[in-house]
Amino acid sequence: MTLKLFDYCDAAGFNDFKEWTKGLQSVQRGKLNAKLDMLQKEGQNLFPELLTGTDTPGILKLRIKGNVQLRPMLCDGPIDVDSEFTLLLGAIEVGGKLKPTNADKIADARKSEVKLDTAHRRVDHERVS
Amino acid sequence: MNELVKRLTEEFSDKDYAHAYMAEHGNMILAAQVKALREQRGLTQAKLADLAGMKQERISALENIDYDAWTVKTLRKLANAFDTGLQVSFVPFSTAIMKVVNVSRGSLEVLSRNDDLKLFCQHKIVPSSGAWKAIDTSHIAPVESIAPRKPIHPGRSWQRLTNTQDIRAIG
Repeated sequence: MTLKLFDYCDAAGFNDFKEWTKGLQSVQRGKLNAKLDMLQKEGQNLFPELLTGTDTPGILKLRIKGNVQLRPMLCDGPIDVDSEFTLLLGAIEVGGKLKPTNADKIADARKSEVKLDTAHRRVDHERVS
Repeated sequence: MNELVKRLTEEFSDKDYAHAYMAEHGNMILAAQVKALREQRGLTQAKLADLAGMKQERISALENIDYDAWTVKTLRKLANAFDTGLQVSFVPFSTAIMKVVNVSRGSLEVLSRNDDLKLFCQHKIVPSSGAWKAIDTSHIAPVESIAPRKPIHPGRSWQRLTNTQDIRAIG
């Protein structure tokens, strides 16, 4: 089982998630990639708690512990919900609150953009080491 | 080379990255394996907790992939409850990388002691490169040796040994 990962792109084709990942320290990137690799390889079958929901239905988050609590937002699909995930937004959690505070809402809006123009509003996930 | 193996081999040149990656991966695998072993044995969290001398809430926490406070003492309790061996050892990163790419439900499941030892009895223990190796002989059928009926020419690699159509490699 190998799932496909995509990154959201803005209207100008800019990969926002990749840029967010570039700004992380290597320890944080190591933890993030460990989880993304297992998500891609095994989905949620082997790791049922890998993704958790948010206040917005259809928007999920990865939880990466550390000095900075990473909470990247993503969704399954949105085209083929059984075989792909789209990384929508880089976010963190500070004091139990998301930063940006409306991260799940932003992610939801981005998900809609991807649905409307799949060919241009997402690219294959660009891994940052 | 598998794409992920190649990537990780390159990425692990960064020491901080490599250790962070493997620590995160290790936590996930331990949690997933506790769940896989529990389900393999048809145990509820409460039953496993009973066998391991823990509370059900603790088993639930240990099965959470974000749990990161593992101790050898806890792992020994679980090994006892699952009736499996426990191996905690230092390994080269190349070994760790191969573990990552070969993760699957099957790779996490482990037979309990009695079932494992019953199967192990069917193994043949042979010396191999200075160490002992266990070979599963349960699927190997006895074969008759082939006696050549013609002189063997040392200079030729493929020769007919018998009067049948069978051809065997020499040397």
